[in-house]
Amino acid sequence: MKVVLDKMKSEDANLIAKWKSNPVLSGQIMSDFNTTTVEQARDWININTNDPNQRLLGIYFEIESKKVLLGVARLMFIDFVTRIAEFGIYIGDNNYRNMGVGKEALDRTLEIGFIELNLNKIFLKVNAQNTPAINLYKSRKFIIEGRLKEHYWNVSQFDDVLYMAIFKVNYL
Amino acid sequence: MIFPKKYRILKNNKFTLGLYRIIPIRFEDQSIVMQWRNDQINILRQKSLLTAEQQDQYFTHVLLKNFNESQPDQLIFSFFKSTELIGYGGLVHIDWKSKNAEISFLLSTKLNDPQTYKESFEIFLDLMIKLAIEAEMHKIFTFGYDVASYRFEPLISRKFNQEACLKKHINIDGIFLNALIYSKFL
Repeated sequence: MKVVLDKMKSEDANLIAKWKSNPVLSGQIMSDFNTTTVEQARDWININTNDPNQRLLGIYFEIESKKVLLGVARLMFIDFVTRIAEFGIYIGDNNYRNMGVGKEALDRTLEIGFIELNLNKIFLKVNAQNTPAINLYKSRKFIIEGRLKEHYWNVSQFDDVLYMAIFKVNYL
Repeated sequence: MIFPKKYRILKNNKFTLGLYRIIPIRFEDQSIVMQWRNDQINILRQKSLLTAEQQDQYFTHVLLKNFNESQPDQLIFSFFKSTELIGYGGLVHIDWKSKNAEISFLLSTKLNDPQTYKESFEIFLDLMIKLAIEAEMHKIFTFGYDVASYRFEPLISRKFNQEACLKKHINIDGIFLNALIYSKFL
């Protein structure tokens, strides 16, 4: 299976609307849950694709010449003075979880951040209950910089939120 | 233009401690707030100097809406000592589902000596705790760049706990500074 990251297109809006309207997925990635129309998803893609302080990338499974959208990876709030950005990711298609897609997408996004954009630091926020994701980030030399206690209401309980970060010097 | 005197979401909109009080931000405060923000741009998450037009747009199109929203993402107040406007701030990035919010605070530039800052911020924190309880928050927190230790002393005195130290998180005038997150449960 070949996973590629590429600029998102307006025809990806159908899947984005479906994933954004999924309350379980919203909980996992700690985003605000909103039922989203295809039109709203198309606007979201356009706005975020054209944001100069962001790199919004679709995670695609490529087979022959066809690309299937599996999820989204982003570098957000890029500050080119401090050379820092926040990383965000989700795999929207459940059939492609636990298959290394997230790992490949993370590696490619780190390469874009540190090599192409010459960032000094990339950080992220992750639900402290999301052990597989935390282990993946640790395997890529992210370190925990903080633990926000009872910071995210997840269905019926408060979960802690971790700040994790990696500096370029530790990436290379 | 005149702003409403009450946020719809709050039953109580005025909070007082001795000579100090906060009231919902007033439209006429926009010029002095812009001046303070531009004076102190280095310690804010603000990338460029505000213009009068941008500030007017923000007050007219963002802050005005907050007054009538059932779940506004911020509740901004003007901060007075007696009759003098000495600062502004409030709860921002309010997460109504998780019941937490960040405290925003900016003091008049002329009052930014360490002692006055500490005294004013301590009072402001006490008023924010009252506001957050009124808004039924579970937790409040601050996000600040580590420019000087005196700026964090009021948080410690008010029993906020440091939850994160984000290393080299901002570059101000060529120097990397950490960002500190302090929080308190209500």
